Amino acid sequence: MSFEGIPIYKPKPYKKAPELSGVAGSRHPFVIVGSGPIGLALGLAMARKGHQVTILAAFDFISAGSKGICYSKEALDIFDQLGIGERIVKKGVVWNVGKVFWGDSSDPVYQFDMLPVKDQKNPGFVNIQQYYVEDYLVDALEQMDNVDIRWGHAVSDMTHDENGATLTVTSRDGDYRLETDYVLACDGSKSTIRELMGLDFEGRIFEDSFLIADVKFKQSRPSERWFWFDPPFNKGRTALLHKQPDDIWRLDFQLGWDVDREEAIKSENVAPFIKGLLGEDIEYEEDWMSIYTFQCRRMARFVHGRVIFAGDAAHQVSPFGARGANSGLPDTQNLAWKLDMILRKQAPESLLESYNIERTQGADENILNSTRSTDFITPKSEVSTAFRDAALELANTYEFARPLVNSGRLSTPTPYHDSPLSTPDSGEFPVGPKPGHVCVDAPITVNGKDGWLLESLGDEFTLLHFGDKPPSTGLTTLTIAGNNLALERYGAGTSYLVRPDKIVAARWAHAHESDIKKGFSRAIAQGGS
Amino acid sequence: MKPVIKLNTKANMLRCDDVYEALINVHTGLSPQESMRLNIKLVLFLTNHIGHADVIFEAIAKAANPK
Repeated sequence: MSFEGIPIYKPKPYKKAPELSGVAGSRHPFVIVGSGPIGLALGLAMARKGHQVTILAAFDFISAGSKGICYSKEALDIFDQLGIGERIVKKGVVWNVGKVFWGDSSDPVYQFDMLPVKDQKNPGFVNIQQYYVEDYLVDALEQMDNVDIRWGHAVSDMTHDENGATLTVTSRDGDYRLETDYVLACDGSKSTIRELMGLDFEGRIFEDSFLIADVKFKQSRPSERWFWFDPPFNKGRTALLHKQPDDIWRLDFQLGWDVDREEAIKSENVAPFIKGLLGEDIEYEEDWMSIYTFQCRRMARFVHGRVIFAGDAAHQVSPFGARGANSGLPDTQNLAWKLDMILRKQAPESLLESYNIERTQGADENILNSTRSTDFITPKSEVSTAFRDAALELANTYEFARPLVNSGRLSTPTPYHDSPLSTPDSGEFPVGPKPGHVCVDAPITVNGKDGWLLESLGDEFTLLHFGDKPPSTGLTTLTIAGNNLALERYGAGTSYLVRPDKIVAARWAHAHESDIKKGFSRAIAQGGS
Repeated sequence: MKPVIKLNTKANMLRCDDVYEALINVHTGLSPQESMRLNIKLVLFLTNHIGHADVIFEAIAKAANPK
């Protein structure tokens, strides 16, 4: 099944908008534009906080095609908070190790482990087709009665001012208008909202094309990320192999800039690549073929008054590093608690500016890593190529050169340095996540039950205390006592003020109630700092 | 606080003529491309041995603009 060339994974019911049946629509607190993983995750986060959620989905289906397949530990922790993490891990292929090969050698020149700190609930990475992630998000949304996903409703125009926006929505029964206080633009790299506002991107476009060949075959191979520089089956270029659920494998080949996209994905042209990588005798079925090019760029600002951008609509990176959806998902967690507190009048509207500051900083770090990986993978000058090959040559023999080999620095959380919401440390902390950093997980026992630290943090601000005398505050408090890994990772006797997105806002060696109050006010942009 | 380590721009090496000669002789018979690759490997070895990013950045800046 396909629609306008887009393959369909699962059809979804189109419904005529109530606005077109003579029902006067009331003004929405916010409207989410876009039904990819970012729009859906943001919708689910807001729905779980009790808000009325409206999501505009341009098509009336979940599209097929594996697309983004690598979900990081941070993304899995976010899915856990949304209640679908365990379903994703169960269906997905868990991996932690990546190997890098050079030339025709079957021994890796370098390998890395994406989960250096063990004893955490979630693995370094899970591979799963994007449509499963979207399907699970939709399942969770459909179980809630405060959610309205409008399948087959696309934004075609918008006017906006300091109080909100009026969206013109096009559906098969005609156009109608939606009034809203906020527009949450999660409408992807070709964002309609961004275009309607005449806003553009700043950054670099890379002149290179890559072939994705997702194929189905049965062969026993380890669940690892394998990357090749200059392999015999793609001389002078690169290749990548990833395992997905359902015996599907992601094969990715660098093609160079001038390619005929139609020609390149024809079976007879793809076959030599696949057989080169997997062997002449391999029997496979084609699942999804696609050509991609990429940019590393972002919008100058993500917050434009009451129009807020998240995910690919706001920032784009190369796929090396799996920093697309994995950086869009933290956008949603960052935005959801701030918008929630603003809508409940528990925090001033100025709190939104911290979303802009923190997530543009996150995007910059992702773009930096992604650009460096891309320059290593596809060097653009003679000297850059010589450096790359020299590093690979030395990595064969010498340990020091192995970390230089950059086949993609895979997504890890981007800390918020100098965030206005963070209280700088006073005193020395030998261990533990710094303010602006995400909490590290650890196995814990709560009320006699074994569990994990991250999943025990709720959807609100929490005071984490490592000892048996938690300071008294009005905040939800989680006390972790005893001699365990959590104390080793955070420091005995310490207290951490943790935001709803599991970022440390402040920490104290010996917390006093007044300090915690000050830290909390600062973390929600209330009053002076 | 870690001490700030500066690039040493004073004469720091005994047998400097021997080293200079060895740096040149190793290129005998190499094409410009091969020489470039060899020089890069040398740079990578030595930067790792020095091990202080700030020293390397200072050396890069001074090499690009010696005045």
